[in-house]
Amino acid sequence: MGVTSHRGAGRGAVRDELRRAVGKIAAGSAVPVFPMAGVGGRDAARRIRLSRRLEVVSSPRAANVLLIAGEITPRLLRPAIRIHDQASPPRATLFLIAGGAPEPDVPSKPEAGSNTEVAAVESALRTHAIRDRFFPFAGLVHQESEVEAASRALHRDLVLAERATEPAIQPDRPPLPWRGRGPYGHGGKGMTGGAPYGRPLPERGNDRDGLQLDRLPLRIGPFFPPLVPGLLLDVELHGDVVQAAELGPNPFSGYVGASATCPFMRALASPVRIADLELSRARSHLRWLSDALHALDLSALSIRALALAERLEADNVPLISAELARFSRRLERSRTLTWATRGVGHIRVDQVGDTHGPVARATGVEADARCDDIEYLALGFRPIVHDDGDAWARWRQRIGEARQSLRLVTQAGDRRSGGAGIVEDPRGMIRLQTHTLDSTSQLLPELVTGREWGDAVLAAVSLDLDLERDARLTSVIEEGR
Amino acid sequence: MTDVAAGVLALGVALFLGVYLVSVLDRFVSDLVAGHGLTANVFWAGPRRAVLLLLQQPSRTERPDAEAWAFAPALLGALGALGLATIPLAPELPLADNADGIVLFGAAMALVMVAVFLHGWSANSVFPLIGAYRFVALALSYEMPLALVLISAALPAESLSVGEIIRSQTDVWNVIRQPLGLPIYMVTVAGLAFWGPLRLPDAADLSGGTRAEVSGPALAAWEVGRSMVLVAAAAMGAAAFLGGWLGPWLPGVVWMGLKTLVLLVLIVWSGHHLARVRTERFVVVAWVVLIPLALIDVFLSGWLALAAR
Amino acid sequence: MTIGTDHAPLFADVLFWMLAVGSVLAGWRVFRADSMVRAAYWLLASFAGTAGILLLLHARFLGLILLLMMAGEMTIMAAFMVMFMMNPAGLNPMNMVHQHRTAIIAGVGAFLGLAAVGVFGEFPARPLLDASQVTADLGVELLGDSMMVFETAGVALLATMIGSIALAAHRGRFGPADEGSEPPALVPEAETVRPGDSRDEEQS
Repeated sequence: MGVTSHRGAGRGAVRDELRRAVGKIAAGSAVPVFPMAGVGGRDAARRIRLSRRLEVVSSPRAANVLLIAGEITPRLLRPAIRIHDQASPPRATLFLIAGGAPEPDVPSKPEAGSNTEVAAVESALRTHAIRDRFFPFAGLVHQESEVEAASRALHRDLVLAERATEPAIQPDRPPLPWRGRGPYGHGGKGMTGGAPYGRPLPERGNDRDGLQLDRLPLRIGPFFPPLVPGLLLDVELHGDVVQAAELGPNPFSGYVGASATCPFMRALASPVRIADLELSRARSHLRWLSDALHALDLSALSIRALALAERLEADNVPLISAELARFSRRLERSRTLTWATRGVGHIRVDQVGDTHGPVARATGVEADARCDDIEYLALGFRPIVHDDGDAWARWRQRIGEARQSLRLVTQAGDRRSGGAGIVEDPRGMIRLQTHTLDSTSQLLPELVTGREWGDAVLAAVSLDLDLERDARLTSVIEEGR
Repeated sequence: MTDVAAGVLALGVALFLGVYLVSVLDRFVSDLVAGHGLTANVFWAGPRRAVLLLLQQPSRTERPDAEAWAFAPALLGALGALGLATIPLAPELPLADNADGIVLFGAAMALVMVAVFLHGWSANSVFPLIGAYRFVALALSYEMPLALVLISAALPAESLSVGEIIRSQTDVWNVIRQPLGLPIYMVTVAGLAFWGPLRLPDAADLSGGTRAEVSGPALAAWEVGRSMVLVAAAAMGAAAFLGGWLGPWLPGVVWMGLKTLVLLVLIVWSGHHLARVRTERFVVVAWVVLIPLALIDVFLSGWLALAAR
Repeated sequence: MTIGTDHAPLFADVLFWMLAVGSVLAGWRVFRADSMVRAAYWLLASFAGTAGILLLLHARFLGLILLLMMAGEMTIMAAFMVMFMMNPAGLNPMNMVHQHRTAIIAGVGAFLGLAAVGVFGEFPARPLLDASQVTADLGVELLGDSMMVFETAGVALLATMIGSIALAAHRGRFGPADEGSEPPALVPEAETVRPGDSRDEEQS
């Protein structure tokens, strides 16, 4: 070892020390997390907003940790891999696989397990297989409570360079070779030349005003943050106006079975306490409120709404009720909120069709399974109805219904409802006999067509879609057959 | 030469303090609104995040305009600095008092449009691009009211120098003399720094808009640049409408800082309370309501200034 | 700005040449750029150099206003070019130069003509005594003898602006913009036919 190399080593050590010191400062920051929700992971992915140590980022580019919560179905896999590769290094993935910790090579056999438990284990096994094959370096937790600590540990190791960044899963090269000449090269004859990106220029088509404009086809989802997980939307943009929209296949179909934990599904078969149903409904509406506020860039208010939903239990209803009353007064008085949502995503009465639930009631259709329930009528239940049919009406509808549900909880006592194969869940009516599926998601393409992108997103958010529920209902109805 | 050095130093300190203050305020208001308890974390969260971003690698897209992409955050920051440089923070600080300061400020703020547009356009990606075009619509709408209320503020001073504008408010502040001025100006500030209800180019419905494809140091630079523009705009608001350094007992620079702080709190507060408005709605309001109001403001201010002669 | 010929002639000279050469280089880049947006912003850079020279000449108001106006103008110009060209959002590279021979002759001719005026023209040598007076003089000129000209032009421009906004507004002549609207048919009471719609009609 010569003197120079020794000095070089010394300098290297100093640099490492400096790097460590800087890394320690960075490790103390909130972890930028980009959540991706698979089957059964939506609530967990949403709840990371509540943690002060984690920061939900709007684009995977800015994320250090990618959280994959729930099962990644085949239709979700490719988008998940793409998002993984888009995250800027240093990056790490964290899987949240609930339902015990089955070893991949030792298939667990629940002796007296129900169908649901078997399905959960199978789902976990499938996700384990995906993790082993595509995300071999990813972290893994089994409990939602461990997510925060595990994310922080990954983050700390990444910024202190104690953990290597995850390599890209797919090769990073343009989908088609570059054919332009020169550094930017328009590559061809005439003013716009040939097809330098290796693909033709967009075709032109009529826009809503009869002008000919370039069409930009785009697939949105399934992890686009303002929209619900799993929603695949093929849109055609003219500038920022949605010219055409088509709903993609539901990525959850065939991977969601009947859930025993959801009180509304249980109420189809046997009577369930009204208090439980209404608590669940209020929670669902508040969670929606949190998502909707998040899509409007009001992340702090969104945390507040989510905290209300997650704190809500049978024993603190009056407290939450009072807080919600204050909160809703504030929202309903907000002029900018009405500016953002009034007239957006307007649904006419003749468009309602098979749509039930708050969306229909916000359009003036007084359809509610609870109206036919003697127990609810005994509580003096009358459905809330708004006539406007726009996003603002749906905002007020859900906030109003959440408050109404909390009132019902306090009055219901031990009354029970259900068992007749019909139930009103937070998103609409579920009826086993007639086998009709709620069609709220089918409204979406019509609702966003011809709208500016911002309005289209707010309209989609206001529908409160849940693709997992759609898939579950399909499977329940098929089982019934 | 020492004057220039002192001025540049003062500007640097003011910018640094201002940007840090914005980060602390933002975290503070956010925690307060979210119902989190308040901790000392509000003081460290911003700097820690900045260091974290510096350790991140920059991202690449397919065929971006790399030069313009790198230039945009630098330009935004430089414009913020230039805007603040036109404002005399205290009568003793010599660098700033430029005879056409308010025009220079206007020119710097007009160029913000170029920085934001380039930032979104050069990534060669859909959502940043939509964000860029959104900002052009937003900027063309707030630009006119901004220019008009600043001209109104200059009328009583009979000068385009910001120092003269402050001195003209010795008897009565412009916020009282021209009641329309400050509210209109604050709307345009939200637009300039695309903050709060006018956070249109970087909105959540575009997955982060012009910054959707940005990571690492470039993202840190963009956030800092945006805060610098906000600080400059708030300081100009304090100078043009709240009498700048004028005030009893305390030294001038403290008064200036306090008034700027009040306006910053207002904007940051709006960021966590007011929903993002629709682009179209804002454009209509700006052209149909704000510009006529700003014109009335100009005529009234001119009439008052003439009557006072 | 405290830059001025009376303070440091050498400094001002160096600055002038830097701005002048920078302006010409940026102007040259306008024609070498391969995108509408890039070309527009190179032109803005060229204007910025010119604005700097105006500042050096103590025409501070003119220089700054040039910068202020051109920032918006160039962005609008880029947006309009993008709207009129079949090039999505100006992202695809394209050839910005056409009619080469005419363009070269016109460009070189204009440059030589202006350069000849600059080199051979007789400019009055009136030293500027009070720099702060320039803006005031400009104001007196604009609102004094030339007031009629400028006010006429100004009001005409304002009327054009209001007219075009009325046409492009939300409730334009074709109905509310966000519901989709169609231009009226050429023949009274005929059905509206959008350009390119014929194929759909055949199918239906």
